[in-house]
Amino acid sequence: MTSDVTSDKMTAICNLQSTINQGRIPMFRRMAIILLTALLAACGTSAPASAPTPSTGSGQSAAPDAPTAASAPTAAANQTLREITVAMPYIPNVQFAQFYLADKKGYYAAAGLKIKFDYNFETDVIQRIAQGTVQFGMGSGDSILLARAQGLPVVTVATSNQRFPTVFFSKVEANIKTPADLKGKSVGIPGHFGASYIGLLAMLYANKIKESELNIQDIGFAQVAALSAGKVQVASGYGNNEPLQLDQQGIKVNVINVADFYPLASDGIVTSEAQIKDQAAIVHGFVRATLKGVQDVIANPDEGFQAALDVIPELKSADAKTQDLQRKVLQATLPYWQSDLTKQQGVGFSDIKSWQATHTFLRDSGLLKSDVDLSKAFTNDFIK
Amino acid sequence: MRQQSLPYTQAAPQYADGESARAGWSFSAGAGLVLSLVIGLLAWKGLILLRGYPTFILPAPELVAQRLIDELAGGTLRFHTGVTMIESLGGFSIALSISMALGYLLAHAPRLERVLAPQLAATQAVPVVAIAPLIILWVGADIGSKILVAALVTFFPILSSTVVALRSVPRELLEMAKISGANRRQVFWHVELPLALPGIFGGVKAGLALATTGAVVGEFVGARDGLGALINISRGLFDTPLMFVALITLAVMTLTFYLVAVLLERALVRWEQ
Repeated sequence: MTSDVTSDKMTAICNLQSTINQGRIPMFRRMAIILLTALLAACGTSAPASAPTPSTGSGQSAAPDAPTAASAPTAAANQTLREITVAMPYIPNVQFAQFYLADKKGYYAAAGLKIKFDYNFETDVIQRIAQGTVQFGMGSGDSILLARAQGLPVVTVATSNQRFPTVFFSKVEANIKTPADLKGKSVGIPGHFGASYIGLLAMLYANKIKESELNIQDIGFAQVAALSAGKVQVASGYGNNEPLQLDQQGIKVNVINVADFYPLASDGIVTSEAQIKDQAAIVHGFVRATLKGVQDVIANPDEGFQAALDVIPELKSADAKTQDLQRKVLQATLPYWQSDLTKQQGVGFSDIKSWQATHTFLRDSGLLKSDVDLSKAFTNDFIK
Repeated sequence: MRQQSLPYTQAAPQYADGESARAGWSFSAGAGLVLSLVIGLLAWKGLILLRGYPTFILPAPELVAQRLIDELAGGTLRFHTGVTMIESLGGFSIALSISMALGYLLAHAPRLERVLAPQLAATQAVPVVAIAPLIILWVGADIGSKILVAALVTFFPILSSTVVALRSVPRELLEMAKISGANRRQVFWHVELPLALPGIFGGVKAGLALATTGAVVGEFVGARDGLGALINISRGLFDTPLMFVALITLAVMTLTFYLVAVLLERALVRWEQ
């Protein structure tokens, strides 16, 4: 289908080009047409790139690598793959390597699924899942509770990060090591919303510090630059990301982990109640395939990194230093996926204690205006 | 949008007589506003009744109205509105003064314009959402950065309409004024400015509408206060009605700015009718 359209385009382009060559079109128009041609060609090539390998899921990850022995037969037998969209709450990143690897290895295809990835803000991800325009996404426990309180029927079906990843970092010379040290300091967060803000509030809540005792600055998503330029004394980020960037720039930092002070429920795979009710098999297939990807990345991070490179051409063409940093980011992500509980229960396990703690904090801080039924907010039914 | 025709060939206020005469039956601008509001509300409510959207996708108008009343009573909405208003008007004023001065200069120095035009156009070519994070990084996260973003988006439309308007002042009139012994300043105040004013107002009106956009973009990228920050906060809480309240307030604010500009235009450009 797509290739037919493309070949039509190609013919049109060729015709145009021959007209140009025969000199029937004035110079300035030729320029315009050449530009247009380049654009058309660019649109045309993106789709059919994935056409020869229908066994791999997304168009983006359609790596020329031969499918693994395990996935090849299933994919060949199963021609009608169910297309689903998975929305990530961030830019394409190695932190999603488990999805990329599961896709590359054909785990989704084996479950009858063809995956399309897209990337949004977390709040938009959750709204789109509730709306049903995307089937799965990543979202954090606090967001799920806030969303459910507003009537969004979203459910966490597997927990990726066993520890809440928000951290607060500062240059070592500032000597800011504990939450109490934050008092009176300028603390840069992207805004009064999302993981940074919730993480900050929870940490202050656990340490009985008032928000007003800090000089909180809404600096947007430029925490690393703001800190290294000295615009703020402390900045927020993900423990597996920003501190590593600063380290690479040669800036030594002290890191305060929110998870050391309060057990917030963190990022997990989210879907809608309707999806669970109507297509539980798809939920099960998707979660199991993803968790298999998680295990594979833990067992062989290099393989996970390669899968991410295939999906993120910008990273593949990046310099060694950038790639090295992202390799470290992935390496630092792995501990977040594992805990004592996951050793007993398996990766993806959602711990009711962290959900209860998240609920208590959100209620006490006034962000949550009414109680939310935790038994409906998450489930461990699909991870086994 | 831009009124470039010379004032003595056509009345500048657009929607006074010409359109109602064509329409056959006439009503005032106020009645038109009410009518369009009613149509909008009915369509909104109808869409909900027809499609049964949940509140988080499209809240009902009465729910949003109730929320608007609550928020207005609470005081935080007024505070956020005030912040965005200061940022927009601050940015607009800066842009207006710079682009008027620069516009005069460029209108009279075509060679300078040829040198500066690429840079000026480039400021417009760069999407403001893309440079807003940089501006916040350079200028800081407080109100100054938002004013700067607002000024940046507002600046170009006013500048270009000013240049065009000044250039379109008939050369004969300028010559005549000079022959009559007017100096440069007199020519400007008595000939150029009055004749260029309708055109300049086109840019001013466009600029005012853009100024709120600029302020909100700045707030969106990183701010504690302002309607853009309120939209971000309501998004984080999945509170769609609150988001609508912020959006409606923003629309009313921009409309008010526009209306003030139209009234000002009528008052200043009246002499020509």
